[in-house]
Amino acid sequence: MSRTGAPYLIGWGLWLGLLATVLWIWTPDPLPPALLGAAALGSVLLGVVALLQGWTERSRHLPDSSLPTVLVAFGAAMTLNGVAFGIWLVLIGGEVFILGLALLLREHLLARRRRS
Amino acid sequence: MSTQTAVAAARAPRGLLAWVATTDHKRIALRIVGAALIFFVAGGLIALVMRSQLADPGAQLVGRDTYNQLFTMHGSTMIYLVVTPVALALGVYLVPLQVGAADIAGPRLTLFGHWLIVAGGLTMYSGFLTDHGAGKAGWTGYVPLSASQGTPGTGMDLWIIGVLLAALGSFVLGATVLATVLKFRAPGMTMLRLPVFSWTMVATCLMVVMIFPVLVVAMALLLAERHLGGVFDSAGGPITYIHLFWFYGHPVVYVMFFPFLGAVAEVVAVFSRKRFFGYRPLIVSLLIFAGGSMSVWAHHMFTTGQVTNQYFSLTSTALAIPAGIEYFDILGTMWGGKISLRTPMLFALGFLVQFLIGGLTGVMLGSPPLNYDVHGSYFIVAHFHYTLFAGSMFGLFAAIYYWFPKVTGVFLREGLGKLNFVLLFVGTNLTFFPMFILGYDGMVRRVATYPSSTGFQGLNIVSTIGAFIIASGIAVFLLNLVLSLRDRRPAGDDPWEGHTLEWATSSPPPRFNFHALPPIRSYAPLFDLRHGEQR
Repeated sequence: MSRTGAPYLIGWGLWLGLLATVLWIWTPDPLPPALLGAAALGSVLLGVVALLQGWTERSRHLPDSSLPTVLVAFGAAMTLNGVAFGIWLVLIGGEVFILGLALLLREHLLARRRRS
Repeated sequence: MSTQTAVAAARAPRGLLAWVATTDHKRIALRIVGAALIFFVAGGLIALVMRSQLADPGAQLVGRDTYNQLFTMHGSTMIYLVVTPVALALGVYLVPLQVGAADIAGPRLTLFGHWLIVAGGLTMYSGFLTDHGAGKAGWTGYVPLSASQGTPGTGMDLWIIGVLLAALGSFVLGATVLATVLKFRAPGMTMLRLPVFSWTMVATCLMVVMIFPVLVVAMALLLAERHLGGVFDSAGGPITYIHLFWFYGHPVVYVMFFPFLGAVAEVVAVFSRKRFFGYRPLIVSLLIFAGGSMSVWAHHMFTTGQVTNQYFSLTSTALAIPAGIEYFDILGTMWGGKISLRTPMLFALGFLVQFLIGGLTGVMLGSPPLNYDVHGSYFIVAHFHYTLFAGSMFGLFAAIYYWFPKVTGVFLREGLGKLNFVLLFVGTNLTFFPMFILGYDGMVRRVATYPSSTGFQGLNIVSTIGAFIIASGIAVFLLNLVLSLRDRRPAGDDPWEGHTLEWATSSPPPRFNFHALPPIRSYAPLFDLRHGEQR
């Protein structure tokens, strides 16, 4: 049995696939079986990816905090809110989002340097 | 030591930075619960206003338009901002501990998910400050009611954006919990040695990663419909939206159920002094249940005449089989055990009894003829409150009273806990049981008032009294929290003689969870240590 749990993902996907197939036979509307079929496919693919990646024993660098992550979240939220409030908020939100991403990259590079 | 060696960052953060930007899974989970508690109080106050309005057929506490905003925001708050995030927060806190990991997979992503949910909630609530008020098309946001002509104004846009953000946040949380189970289990912790709670989180997160993207797409399309038009304009457009919505909307009921079922299963085993009964059948039934629950969504659409009722009725009714297996497993665990009726166990028993009422009325609603009769009535409101409040919230309280000593190192007060339970149990049944009768007698949901000639007032008064008893139960709980944290009664590392790994570490656990792990030879490693058994 794979240590990654991939067989469970694949098995669950096949179960969804079976349900989607029965629904496809039964219903004239293509949307419901397509939705369920997509979920089945997604689960099987997730399982295959887990299977291919295998199990790695490795050390992880675990940060204690990450302010850039918070900036990215609020940048994304502000950008979306701009759809309701106007382009000015889309622009400000976009800038915060990009700044957050840049700082996140810097955080990642610093962590890598510290590890090496 | 856990599988992955943890390498700490150079400097531990302090003050506001630590509060806002911590990547410790335990602290993030507590932030999620804290935010959800604030939204819960807001959603609860909204419910009290609505119940006060409905106690008297002539009451004009709020106008119809405001009432529409209130029931929309009450439902949206409880589903998107309270129960779903709290269900996932339990996983964020406990799954890394139960699988013996040093931290969650993708701690930054988990932090990202938390703040997206908070931003989503603030966005939704900011709608109250706009000209037309907050969203008012129900928590489902059906088209064309939620389109720009049906509900004009910025508030509805903000509701859609808020739901989109919260859904994205929940998706991210679910993905990181699932990845933790798949990738970061300790040596010896095979999939078939995962604790029951962690298995319920696997089933939950599998559903989360499959259904929340569909909600995000539905909300994005709805936003496009409002601003660009032409998305849901065709004859089948509204039905397409309803399919997308309920493909998310029904399985999410189980996203808000499985984690609490897992918590109750752990509580029942520990407070019956027995190993959990029927572990493997439970896992199989969970996976079958989770898959089955994704193929029943169109029972919400029976009355549209646009879905294959036979299929969706069959699958909906068949869910009683895996649900029955889970119930029998829990009863089997109690059978012959030395049952201790501490507060967590009382809430667990309350969960089992009340969710059964919600579940059995759900089987009734899976039958199209019965469904047609009570569709859009208070019967539905009673049914889903028995699952979500009487069920999941009681499971949540079982979890809180059970794991509070682990999270804080101190006990919650037992006497106040029992008072909390009694008030909630009485209040819940007084509030929601009359709604079954009201609905069956023809009272429709989502109405700000009703004629006095209908004879609905008596049961509505009972229901309103029940709502205020629930509020007093919540007040007792908050008082218990404050008292227990101020005048601390140390609990030690394992006060209940727990079965799973989180009880093998200190209370509260250290930054990277474990200094050493006991041997893992079953799904109850500490029970094995104590009793020298292997399974």
